[in-house]
Amino acid sequence: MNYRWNWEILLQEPYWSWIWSGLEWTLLISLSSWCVALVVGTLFGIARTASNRAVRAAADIYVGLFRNVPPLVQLFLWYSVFPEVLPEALGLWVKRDMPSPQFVTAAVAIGLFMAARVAEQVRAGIGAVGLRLLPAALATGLRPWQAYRLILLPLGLRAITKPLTSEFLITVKMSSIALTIGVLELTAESRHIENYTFQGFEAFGVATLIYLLLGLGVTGVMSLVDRYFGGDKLRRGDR
Amino acid sequence: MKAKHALAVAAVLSMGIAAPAAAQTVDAIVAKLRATGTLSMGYRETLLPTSYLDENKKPTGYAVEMCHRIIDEVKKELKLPEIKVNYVPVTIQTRQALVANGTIDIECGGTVNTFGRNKQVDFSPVSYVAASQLLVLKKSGIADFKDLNGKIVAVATGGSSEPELKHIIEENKLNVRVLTVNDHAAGLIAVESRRADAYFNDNAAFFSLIKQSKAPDNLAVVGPEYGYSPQGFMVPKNNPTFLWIVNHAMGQMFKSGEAEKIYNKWFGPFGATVGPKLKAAWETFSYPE
Repeated sequence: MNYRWNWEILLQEPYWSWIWSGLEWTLLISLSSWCVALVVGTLFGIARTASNRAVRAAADIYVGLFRNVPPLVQLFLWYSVFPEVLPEALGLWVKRDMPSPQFVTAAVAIGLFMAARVAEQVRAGIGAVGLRLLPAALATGLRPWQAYRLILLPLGLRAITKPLTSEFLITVKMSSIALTIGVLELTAESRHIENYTFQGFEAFGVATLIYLLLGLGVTGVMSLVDRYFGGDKLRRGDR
Repeated sequence: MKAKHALAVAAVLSMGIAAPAAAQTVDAIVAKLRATGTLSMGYRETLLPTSYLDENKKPTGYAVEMCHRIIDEVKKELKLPEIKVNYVPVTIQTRQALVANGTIDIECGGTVNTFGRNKQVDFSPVSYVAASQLLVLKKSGIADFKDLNGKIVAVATGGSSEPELKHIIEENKLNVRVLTVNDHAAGLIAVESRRADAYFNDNAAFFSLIKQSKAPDNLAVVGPEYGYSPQGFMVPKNNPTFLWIVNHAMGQMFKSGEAEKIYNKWFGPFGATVGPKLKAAWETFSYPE
């Protein structure tokens, strides 16, 4: 193969700053969609353990829908179809005048997809550790939401920090699908560099390395969180 | 054990850095032609009218026809009785790698020749000169770059139009929001759904976009032709004999007026004629025998 390697290209302007700005977008999308996923996912996870049948059914529908439709399709639906079904003025606002429409769409779409997965973890966590404590908690006179806040959630969430690490990692990697709607995140910027210089192997090589480091960073942070809240002790049965 | 691993890693890494130079053989395409009588032609599936699949799913178009003339010339020069053409579809993302690794012997699409790209592949003489213009909705009232003030302009990443748009914005001191899109189809959708007010791109792509549109009458191509994007056919490096035949065949077509005839056949229906920049490029390459 006639390929001339030129790693120096990555240190040259503007390619260096493209990688950098790609990394910034990747971080932004990952973190904001992870926030959406955690908040929405926890709410739906709680709802899936609720005693009210209608609430449970609604949460089941959400998880079934968002977990089973491919995330790329969801992103296209949010980007291309959703603004068209809104009233015209609002649709135009979403398409044009909302701050960074592409980024917000990507963060929400990825966040809602991941929320369905997080909801499953939360439900499993509460089910595994806390649900059998609910009658006891209620018997002490706590109201249901107090029982969740003070007993079921702290125990349930602590039990699932490890699986949540995987979900966080998936979110980071999932951020790359934002390139399909034109967000110039890390993968898109690597392609960008390839298009201009035809030095794709170097660009994608560095992007791979950055994703790897991001992943290791996430794993490290999450195990710190796990240790801080005592998740490992809980799993060892050492309460 | 550890040292062994490190050695293996070092070997793999150094292969990536040092080996390609040693592995290159000169004139691999000619050797392959003599051995197998086949030639791989890269084509684009939807780049109307330059390189696309016709109703019978056969590659056709302006660039493909030119390449067939070149292949006739290859047959003559190498005195081969027959050349079997092996068609390989390419995209903007795959074309360079497929040419560089030798999967494709000649890429018959519309790739802009740049010095950067010349480090990885060789280019034929200029087949087409694209210039950048604006694709807009007729009712938008945009007619020139100056009208873009306060508007949203879509631009495809990776092409030559992206840095050009930056220049135009700086030159005219415009206040423009730039919407990056992934491909031409996304640019068209952005304009039609009013996500963007204009799609700035080289006008070669507009022919097929307008054809794809459900409401082509609503669309207009406006603005002065900006920039100089000479396109050519990519050929793998280290094939001096093959590249010479390509150059010679195209030079002959330029001189005889055959190139213009092929151009008019494919672009005529879209109302385009050979522009002054393309004509100048062809005249420059009309070397004497």
